[in-house]
This record gives sequence, C-alpha cells and structure tokens, in this order.
Amino acid sequence: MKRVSLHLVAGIVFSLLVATRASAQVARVFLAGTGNDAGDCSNQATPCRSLQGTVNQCPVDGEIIILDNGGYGGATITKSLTVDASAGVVAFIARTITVTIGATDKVVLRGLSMNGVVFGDADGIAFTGGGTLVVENSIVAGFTTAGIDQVAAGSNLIVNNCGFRNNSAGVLNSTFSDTNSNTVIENSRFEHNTAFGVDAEHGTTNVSIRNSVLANNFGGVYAFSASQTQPVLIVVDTCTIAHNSSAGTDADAVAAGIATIRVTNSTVDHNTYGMFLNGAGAAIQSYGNNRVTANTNGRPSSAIGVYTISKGGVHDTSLSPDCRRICFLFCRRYQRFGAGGPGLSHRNRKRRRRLYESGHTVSQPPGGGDGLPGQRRDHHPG
Amino acid sequence: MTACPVNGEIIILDNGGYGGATITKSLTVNASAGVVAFIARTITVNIASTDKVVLRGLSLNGKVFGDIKGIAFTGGGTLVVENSVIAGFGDQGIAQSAAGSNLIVSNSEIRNQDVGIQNASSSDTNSNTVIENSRFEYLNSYGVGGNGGTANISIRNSALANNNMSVFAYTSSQTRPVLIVVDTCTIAHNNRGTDAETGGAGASATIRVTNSTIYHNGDGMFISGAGAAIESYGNNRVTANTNGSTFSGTVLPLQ
Repeated sequence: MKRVSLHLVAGIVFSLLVATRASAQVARVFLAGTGNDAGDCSNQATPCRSLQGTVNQCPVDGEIIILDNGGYGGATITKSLTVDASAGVVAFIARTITVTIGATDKVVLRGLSMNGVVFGDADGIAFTGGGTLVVENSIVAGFTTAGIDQVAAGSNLIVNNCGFRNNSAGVLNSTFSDTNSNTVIENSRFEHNTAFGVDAEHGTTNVSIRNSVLANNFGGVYAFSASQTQPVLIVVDTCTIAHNSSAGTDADAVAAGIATIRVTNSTVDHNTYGMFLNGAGAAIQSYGNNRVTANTNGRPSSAIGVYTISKGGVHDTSLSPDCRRICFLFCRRYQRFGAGGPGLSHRNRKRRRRLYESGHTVSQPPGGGDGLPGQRRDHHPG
Repeated sequence: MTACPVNGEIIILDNGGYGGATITKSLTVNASAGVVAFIARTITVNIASTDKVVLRGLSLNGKVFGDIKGIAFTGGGTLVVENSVIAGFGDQGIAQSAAGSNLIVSNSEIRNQDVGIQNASSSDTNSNTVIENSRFEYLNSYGVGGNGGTANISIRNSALANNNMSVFAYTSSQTRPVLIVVDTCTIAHNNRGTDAETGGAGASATIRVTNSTIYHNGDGMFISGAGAAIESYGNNRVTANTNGSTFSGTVLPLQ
C-alpha cells in the first residue's frame, strides 16, 4: 500500500486557517527544550522554553504542544487551556503546577512526568481554584503532601491513566467546605505513597475510583469526615487494593461525621487491615461481589443488600482482644513515624495525629447502624 | 488528503497544527503516540457506503475557532476514531448523521462541548455505533446519544462523568427505535446519568445497563414517555443519586 508522508515544512498543506504569522489568531502554542520565552511560541520553529512562559502566551482555551523531551518547570495556570505532551516525549516537571481557575474554566494536563523529590515541593498539582481539571497519561511522584491536592469547593477533578507514587498522598480531596467537590479516578496506579493512595477528607466530596491499583502504600483508600454537613463518599469499583501497610480501606468519622466507602468487584488482599473503621458514622460497604483475602485483620463492616451488620466503631466485635491491642500498638508506631518526619505540612501532622488517636480510642459500636441491633455475620467473601 | 491514494495511509511525522479537512475516500490518518497532531477545525468524513476511514491519534480542540462539529460523519460507510481527543467544539464532538453508517470509537477522550457523540440519521435505516475504553467529560448536553433515527449503540468500559446527561436515547417515531447497551461503565456526577425518552405513539427508546456503576447523579435514570425504558441485567451498582434510582420493569436475564 502506498503511503504519503506529511511534514509541516515540506509537504502538503491542509489548513486554510492555521496561523502562519505570529500576529494571527492561533489555537496552539509550542514548548520545547530548545525554545526561548522571548517569543510568542506560536510557531513550531520558535517555541517557548518554560511551561510558565508558554502558559502566559497560550490563548484562552488553547493548547500547549510539548515538542520534545525536557524539563519545563512549574507554573501557575489561571485560565482554561490544555497542556499536551505526546507519549513519545518526557515532559519533565520537578516543581508544583498550580491550577487556580474560575468555576467555569477547564484545564487539561496530558502526558506529564512530574517528580518532586529533589526540590521537595508539597504538591505536584495544587488544584486550588474551582472549575474542572483533567489529568491524564501522567506520572506524579515524590511530592511531600500530595500528588494532586484538590482543595477548592465545587471543583471537579478527573484523573485517567496516571501513576502516583512516592508521594505522601496520591490524590487528596480536602476542601474544608460543605459544598460538594467531585473526583473521578480511572485506570490509575497508586504505589508506595507514604500516606493514602486516595484520601478524601474534611469537606463534602463524592469520589469514584475505577479499574485502578492501590498497592504498597501506607493505606489504600481513606474517607474521613468530622461534620454531618461534610459527608464523604468513595465508590471503589474494579480495583485491586493490596499490600498496604495499614489499611486497604479506611473510613474514619468523628463527632457527627459521615464517612462511607462502597466497594464493588474489587480485590482487597494482603493488607494489615482490609477494612479499618472508626466512629459511629463510618462504614465500608460491599455489593457482595468482592474478593477479600489474606488481610491480617478487618472484615467488611456492612454490605448493601447482603449484610446487615451495624456500622461503626473500631471495636469490631469480630476482632479478638489481641487484634485490638495490635491496632493500638500499630497506631502508636505510626504516630512516632509521622510526627518525627521532617518537612511535614501542618495538615499532614494533623492527619497523622488523627490516625493515631483513632486507633487509641476504642469505642463500642452503637446498636443498629442499619436499624438492626448489632447483628453481624462472621464471614463473607465480600 | 488530496495526494493520498484511495485506501492509502497518511503518516503524521511530527507535532503540529494541521487544520481541518474533508475526506471523501477510504484512507487512514495515522499519528503515532509520540506526536501531537493538533486539529482546531472540523474534519468532515463524507464517504460512500462501502468506504472506510480510520482516524488515529488526533488531538482536536475547537474552542478557539468555534467550529460546530469536531468530526462530521455525513456519509455512509465506516469511520473508526481511536486514540484521539475531541474537545471544545460548538455542538458535537462526533456527529454521525448518515443512514446505514457505522462508527467505531476506541480509547478516546471526548469533552467540553455540547454533545460527545451523536447518532442521529433521521432515517428508518439503522446506524451502528460502538464505543469502547473512552471518556466523556463535562459535556453540556449529553455524552453519548441516539436521538433521531434508528440506532444501535454500545458503550463499553467507559467513563461518563460531570455531564448534563451521560447516555441519552430518544425517538419520536415507531419506525426509528433507539437501543443503547451500556456495559461496564462508570456514570457519575451528571445531572442525569441515563435518560430514555419517547415523543410519539409506538416509539421505543431503550437503554440496557450491565455491570456498571451509576453514582452521584441528579437522576440515576430518567424515563419519560410510553415506550421509554432503562433496563438492568441485575448486576449494577446504583448509589447516591438524588432521584431516579429505579430501572424499568423486570431484570433482564444473564445467559
């Protein structure tokens, strides 16, 4: 079969309206390691050099095309745009990208390789504004607070085909607001993060995680709520949650908080705790179609349509007294580890203290979290 | 495009903006994963019923110039779109409008316009759509819809989130039934997750859902009109929707 090669410089011209002069309207700008921020980046032959420089030149709703391998630095993004690095390019970013946009703005980040270990920044991507952020085909590693830190009330975060490793938290949703923020995670991997792979706390949020692996972290999935007006719900679908050193799934509710994790078609195996619960408003629920095996402790607290176990209480009556003592000792060990770590953010210290305190405080479950008095089943495959 | 032979292949060599085009013959456009093949204008695929066009690895973003459609599939025949991004157009990301046409979409991101993919041939003659491993995000009207003409659509292993509606089946004519099968999808954070509506006597608009998660929508299922149905195979997860969490009728049997 004959083939035709296409090249910008010598070849067939498709377009009628792609700009050929710097002053004409363009929909895309270029970024390359050989570039120079002095220009407007609109010509492939004269790209910009830094991500921030290119962000500045990119039109609203435009696209930044990263042409070659290189380190491009952090940036602050305050308008709708797309950053697009193809799979054939290592677009290396060692510093924080801050996305602080309006509620109707939309930012897409594709194909980035972020590694924050050397410079020690807190967040890989600090999503501090409302609006919608999509992160796909990217690696985010080595940041001391979170790979992605979603803090704005009413914001929407979509993560697809990403790897989060060696951060404190992989993806953190923490808005401190009654206004809901959404997170959708798909086809992603969370590996050896020193806190939780996915952490939703302190703010109303709805999180879904699908077709992802959370392994070898401190914990897999964490839901925390301290207020009835700030409930947290995480739906875990077709995931593998394995080899996490504390809990595969952890629901933590203090005061009148409501923290819920619902698990379907997933495998929770070989964690210290398959499910870890604290507080009357905490629940980890099953659709009856999971595989839960080889965890040292912790069975499901309740299940939708299958179980009628009452919710709540780290005091799971299925645990032996020895297990409760192990829980207390484990959390004491973690508190020492966490509090002594250099460079921890204030929020990280508060989070780790809370984990310690939740293990230290052993409470009786209330009667009938599902309206039934303390009923439980001894064993269920999930 | 003009220089490509019939059934030939266009290989996109490097990153760049390449503009819109009209395709009237069988060919393949192939951008490798190592290239950003940026297109800011409409691609029209107007081919004959025996022709086949494949578009691979394109990054379409229509926001700046405001074209209405990302890919206007106006002729019969078969169109395959894969490994592509289609965003920011005024109305549809992909508009499939020819009777008897076949659209196959794989591993693509469709976002930030009114409609993701529309199958609307205005014809009694069936048009097929197969969607796999794709994502439909923040679309102002709907993600995937069959809403004007006989259509059979399957959506598999995809995520449809933060849209107004995600899956939309509509017909006003008995001779133009619409059937959408949703398989192993996540439908979350939409105003309406699934929406089936009819507007005429004897009309049939059906969505069948298997192994999917319908979560945190305003309406998990919205059903309007006789002959409209959203049916379950009994193996879905429906949770945290404000309204409309009930499938139609009895559970379909797995076999």
